[in-house]
Amino acid sequence: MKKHNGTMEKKGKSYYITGIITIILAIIILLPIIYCFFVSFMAESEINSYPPKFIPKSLYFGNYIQVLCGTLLGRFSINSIILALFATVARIVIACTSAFAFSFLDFPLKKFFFFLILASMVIPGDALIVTNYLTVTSFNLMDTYLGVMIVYFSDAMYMFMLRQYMKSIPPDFRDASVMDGCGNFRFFTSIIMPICKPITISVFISSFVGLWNAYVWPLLITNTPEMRTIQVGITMLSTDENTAFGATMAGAIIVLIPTIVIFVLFKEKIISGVTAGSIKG
Amino acid sequence: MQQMSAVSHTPVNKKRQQVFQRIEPFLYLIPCLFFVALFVYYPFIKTIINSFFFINKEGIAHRFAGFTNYIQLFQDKTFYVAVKNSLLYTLMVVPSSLLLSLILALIANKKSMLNKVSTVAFLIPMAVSVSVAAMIFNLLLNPTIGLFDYVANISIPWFTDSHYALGGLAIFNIWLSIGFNFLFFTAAIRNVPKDVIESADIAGANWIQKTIHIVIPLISPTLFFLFCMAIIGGLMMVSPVLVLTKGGPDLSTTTLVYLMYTQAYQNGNYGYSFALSVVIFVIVGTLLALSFKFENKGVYYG
Repeated sequence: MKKHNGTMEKKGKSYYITGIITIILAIIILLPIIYCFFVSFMAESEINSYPPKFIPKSLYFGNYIQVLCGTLLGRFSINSIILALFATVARIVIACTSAFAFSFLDFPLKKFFFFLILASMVIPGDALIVTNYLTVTSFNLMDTYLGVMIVYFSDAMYMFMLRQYMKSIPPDFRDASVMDGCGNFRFFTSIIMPICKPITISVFISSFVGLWNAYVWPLLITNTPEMRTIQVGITMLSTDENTAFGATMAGAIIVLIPTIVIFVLFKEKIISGVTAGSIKG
Repeated sequence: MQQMSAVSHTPVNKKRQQVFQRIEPFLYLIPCLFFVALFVYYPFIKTIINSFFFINKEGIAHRFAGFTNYIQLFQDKTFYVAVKNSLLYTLMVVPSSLLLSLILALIANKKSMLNKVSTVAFLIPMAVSVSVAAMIFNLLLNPTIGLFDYVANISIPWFTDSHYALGGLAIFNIWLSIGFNFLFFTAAIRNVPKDVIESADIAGANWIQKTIHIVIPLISPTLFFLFCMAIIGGLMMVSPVLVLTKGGPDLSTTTLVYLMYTQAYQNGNYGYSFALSVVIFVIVGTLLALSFKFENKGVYYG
């Protein structure tokens, strides 16, 4: 009881000091985004004035109107949603089935295949981009949704995260279902997948955000404006001669909203996903 | 149930079932193996082989070239500039981004008011894409109308002066990597066993002592993982260059991957580009191998 009181008193003092420090740090870290938000409501003349202003004089919606009506931003967003959604679903199906095989089934060369897939994480993907570009164009997938998506279908990290999670399921589950005459596929779909729901949600979120934010590959593999993703599209709002900061910042805010909402809502899911995939040997 | 066992006892069905049992695991595995093979191992091997061939403008190998592509690469002054830029950039980004996000994670996981708010705030840079962040920093670090230079009372043309451009990209990337590193550090710190911390409390250790002697050794596998990721990310850096500086001014932001990229897509010089890919593998592999050597001494696996 005495000890308990001691820690309570100690907590009392540092509890508020640490709180104040973190909030100051949080504001500094978020300053670029807050600044972007404010600038998106400034007219071009206000942005270009000196000294630079942080808070807009009045709410000016011209930038948003320009971006939403004057560009293909709507089309870009649809492209990005299609890409992120379908590629994430494919990724999850592929990662779950392979993780299931590695966790519950026995087959020759199991260890070899496992490390073959795992080792692909160490090969830097950016250095393969030219060859992958030539492969995908040779399939005539240049400027198609499948061409943008296909390189993302298999992801060793997600396979590993799911396998770590499945390994923690007690083997009794399998024994019991084998006794009941339940085939592997039914065991997988009706017992394992429901148990893996939390980790699958974590994987879904991080994969969706990652693909929504993808830049270099979609830039390379698309060349008509209609096929551009939102990330590529917003860098094209300003040209080399004319940097339209107001419109660009409005576009940036529109692109940011979905991912920030996902992070705020699913903070704990995202952290627990990483914990599940952490290397425990 | 009875019917099923009766069926599987007939010899033909039994054999069929055995065959199915053999191949069944591979049905689950094939999609993953297929795509890993097609987009990682196949291009990896093909890149190495093609680096020894003359490649035409369509990217097709047509004649054995020996080491010609490599000789061309090693005689090119731009290549050495790119090596220097990539190494310098990695050196600027890796220690500062790891240290900064570790401190943030330690503070945010300390019991305090608002620590739920700060966890979200420190994660948010992870939600920002390279292209959006590049747009924001292009304005923020603008020498005349940017807020950063005004508040710091300097007038540095971050992205348009060859002395500062790489530093500007480093500032940008340190900010952008906070979220990712913070996420992994937070997950690791939360995994530190409570009883270890409690026994340190009983021994009378303060927060800094506990952090240095208990928390950091226990999260060192994560620290090592993030260190390796940061080294790969630093050496492979290309997206902010594509958005912001296009390798300039005066090649000051031409990194290894950017050079590989421009040689292939702008100049159609695929042979050079493949040879450079192989050299990048060697550089990254060497640095990772060195890190793993260090791992045996510095990383604690509980």
